[in-house]
Amino acid sequence: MGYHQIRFEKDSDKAIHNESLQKALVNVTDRFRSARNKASSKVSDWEELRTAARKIKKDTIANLDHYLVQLEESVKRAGGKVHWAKDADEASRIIVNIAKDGKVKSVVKSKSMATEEIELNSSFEQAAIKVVETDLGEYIIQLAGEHPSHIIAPAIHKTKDDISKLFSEKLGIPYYEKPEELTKVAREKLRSEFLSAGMGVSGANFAVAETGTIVVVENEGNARLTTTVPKIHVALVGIEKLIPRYEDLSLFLTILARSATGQKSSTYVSFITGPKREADIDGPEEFHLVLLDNGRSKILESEQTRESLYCIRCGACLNNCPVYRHVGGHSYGWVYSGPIGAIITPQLMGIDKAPELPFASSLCGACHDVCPVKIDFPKVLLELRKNVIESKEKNIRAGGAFLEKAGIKFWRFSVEHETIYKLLNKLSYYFQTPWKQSNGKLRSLPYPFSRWTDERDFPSVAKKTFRERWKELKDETG
Amino acid sequence: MTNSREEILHTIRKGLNGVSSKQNFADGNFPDEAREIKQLTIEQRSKLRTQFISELKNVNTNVLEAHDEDEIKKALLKLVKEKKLESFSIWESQYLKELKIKEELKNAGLKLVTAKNKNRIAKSDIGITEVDYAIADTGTLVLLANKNQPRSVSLLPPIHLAIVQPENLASNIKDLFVILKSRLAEGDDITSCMTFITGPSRTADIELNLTLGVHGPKELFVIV
Amino acid sequence: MVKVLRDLGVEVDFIEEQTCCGQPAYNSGYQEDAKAVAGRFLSVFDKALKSDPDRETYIVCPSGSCTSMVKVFYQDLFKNSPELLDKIKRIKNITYEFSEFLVKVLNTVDVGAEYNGIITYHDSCHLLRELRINEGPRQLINSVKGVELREMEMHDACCGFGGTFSVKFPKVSVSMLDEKIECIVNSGADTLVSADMGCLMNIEGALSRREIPIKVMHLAELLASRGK
Repeated sequence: MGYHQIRFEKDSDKAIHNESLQKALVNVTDRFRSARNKASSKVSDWEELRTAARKIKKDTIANLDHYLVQLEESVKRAGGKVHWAKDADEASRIIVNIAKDGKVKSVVKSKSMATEEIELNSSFEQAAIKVVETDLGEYIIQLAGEHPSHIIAPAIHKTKDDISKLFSEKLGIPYYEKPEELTKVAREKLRSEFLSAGMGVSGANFAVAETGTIVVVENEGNARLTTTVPKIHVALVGIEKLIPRYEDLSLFLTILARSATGQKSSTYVSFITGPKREADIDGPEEFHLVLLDNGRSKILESEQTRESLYCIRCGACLNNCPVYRHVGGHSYGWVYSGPIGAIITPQLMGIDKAPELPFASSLCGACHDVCPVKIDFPKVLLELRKNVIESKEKNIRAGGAFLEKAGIKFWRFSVEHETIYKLLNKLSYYFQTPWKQSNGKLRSLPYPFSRWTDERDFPSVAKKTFRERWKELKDETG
Repeated sequence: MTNSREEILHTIRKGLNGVSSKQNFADGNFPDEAREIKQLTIEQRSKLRTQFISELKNVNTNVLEAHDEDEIKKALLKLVKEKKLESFSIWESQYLKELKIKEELKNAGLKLVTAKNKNRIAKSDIGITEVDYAIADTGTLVLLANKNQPRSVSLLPPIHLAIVQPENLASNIKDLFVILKSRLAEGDDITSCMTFITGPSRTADIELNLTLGVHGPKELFVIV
Repeated sequence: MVKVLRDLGVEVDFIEEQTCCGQPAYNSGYQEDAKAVAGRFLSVFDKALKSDPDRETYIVCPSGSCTSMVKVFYQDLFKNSPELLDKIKRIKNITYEFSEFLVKVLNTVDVGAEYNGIITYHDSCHLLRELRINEGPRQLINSVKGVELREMEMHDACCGFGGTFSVKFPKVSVSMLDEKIECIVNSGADTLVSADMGCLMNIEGALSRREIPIKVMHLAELLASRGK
């Protein structure tokens, strides 16, 4: 995986000052949030479903080796091939080799976060194999050369105007204003790609161990085309996507679309088990399942963070996160954003590459409340914060780290010694004088406290401490 | 490649040290449950059909109600006229054969396009299928791929027409999976591809504006 | 808080040895430091409880954050210290957030308070999501004579404080705060009430800097009001 520098503070600052992005973020989070609330409120046993879904994921992850082996057997039985990729490079290599073996000149891709994670497209490009994103949102960002900014709606940071200009510039067509016209252009352009591609690459939302079935959920139809028309179908699937039994799908499909977009069901769900049967008239002749580890197996080690693997990639956490709402997906620096990005990016990349992310949250817990598999994000974030602080890595954090550590030690010293604590309480009344305004508030405190007072006043300390008042209150009765 | 497999499994086992437990998911008695689900009174069936129709409309599916063979054919021919259809592709499946849909359309002057050629099928005006099952509470069609039921027919042409027999309606997705699982328990092949279809193709990727007809069929018609 | 409780006939004591529950360190990733401070909290209160074991005693705290630290997070912080779990259990079972104590233990929503104003209430995150408390404060506010309670839009959205988050990522924090201020202003209220000092400092800090004349009060202050 190419080293990628994640700079949350810098990028989020840019995002906050980007007016059109701010509008888009309010739009997407408001709408998805209210749609999810509406849809889930109509399901009378929604909370029980969440609990059941979490339990299935917990049991599956706790026996992941067993289910992976079972999945492999099932896929082989159905006539498919299974490949195991321990990291991004290996996964890309495997997939590019499948294309080379099949003498494939062009590839169509349906939406898959995992393929973004491994940067598959650039591997294809390096091998001189044409690759075309077919999901409209992904197509847009492919043309723009950007990362997705939201799990479900990857191009949501772009306005209609941005997209019209982009299409006009990159596709050499006139400037179309209406979304219908832009969509029509994409449909026509991509149709010919589907029909001529030698290989289709998809991800999968679920992989059923019992039957060897992979499940692909979508609204556009491009995943169906990707997995039906070309001769070869390759599915890249993270090892955590497993569920044990065929019927478990009914539970997960019930909660997935409702959590993601508020739909009762997404438009298309494809349940693919191996390549076409001999008598089938259409469908791929070859089916390859590429199982992706890329750091997931390591996450299993820690019981505190293991539930990061329960995620079904619905995006509900993003839509309900106040931080995401204000900073957008690109601030998280990688393909996964919002609360799920904050917990898996540091774990997949290594905390030394993303030390800010576990702190990029106010721990409000709104994500935990809406996650269909009840991932306790605050708990995982707290554990990751501990890992960052206790990490032996040098320079893992920015300069402020020394000041912060000194501050915490000072704080600890004072709260462990009541006399010091009382003394500081008393003295702070006098220390604050240079910054005290006539309205009783503190302004323009020196660094690092300026990070508060730059845009907010700070209350001043009262002359009488509570302990002093207590001396009087103690003897009063109600 | 084998190395990676062993490495990955080894890391997993190491990480789960002590946690791994024997799974005891009780396997349901699917054939019995399926039988129970399928036993519906005429009134229940009718209610299910009404719910199904309402849900179909909620997801921008065009519904043509028909109560017998004649009405089905009438609805079909009306659609042909309205949409000025000139060519069609079709499943060679049992119910459609019984209804003689292929012959009706040929007689109406439409050209039959074989599903064997993907370029041609993409150019046909309409793809006609029946359904293996349908889910009433979400307005979902369930299609299984096999030698008489190619995937492309419901995917490539710009219009998809599905003829639904009410006795194939399941109440909800949970019941449907009981039925499917009971078939697997009885030895049926799972088929290479099962597809759930709920409405025509759509996207909201541009500023969350809903647009119909992206890559899959722009219009979905159901005769039920 | 002392005043309100005494008025309801509760005998109130303040253990002078106490300092902090340890949450700032826990939230910032300094778990060893947090354990030291939290351990002290447990000893101080355990000692106080043991001095009069037969008396019906509760620990009441005017903060959703501190209360959740004791009731929810201590178990996690000390998961590797089974010898402390018993002490933690005893203490957390008698620890209550202030509004929760009034409503659930004293079964009271009307404390005889009086205040003239239009109030909007901000649900602080720990109180709402860790302790699941949102109705009690509203019932208490509604029972204050002279008060009209108006819900603001997004009353349960985080104000941007998040402890050290407010100074680690101040721009993000203030962006969230700005939206909260907008909702408060749009509600038409003249007073903002909440039950956590962190949120109150944050919100008041912005209101005062932007010279918006909306009063900010802790729930306890409101309940101690006896009109002008």
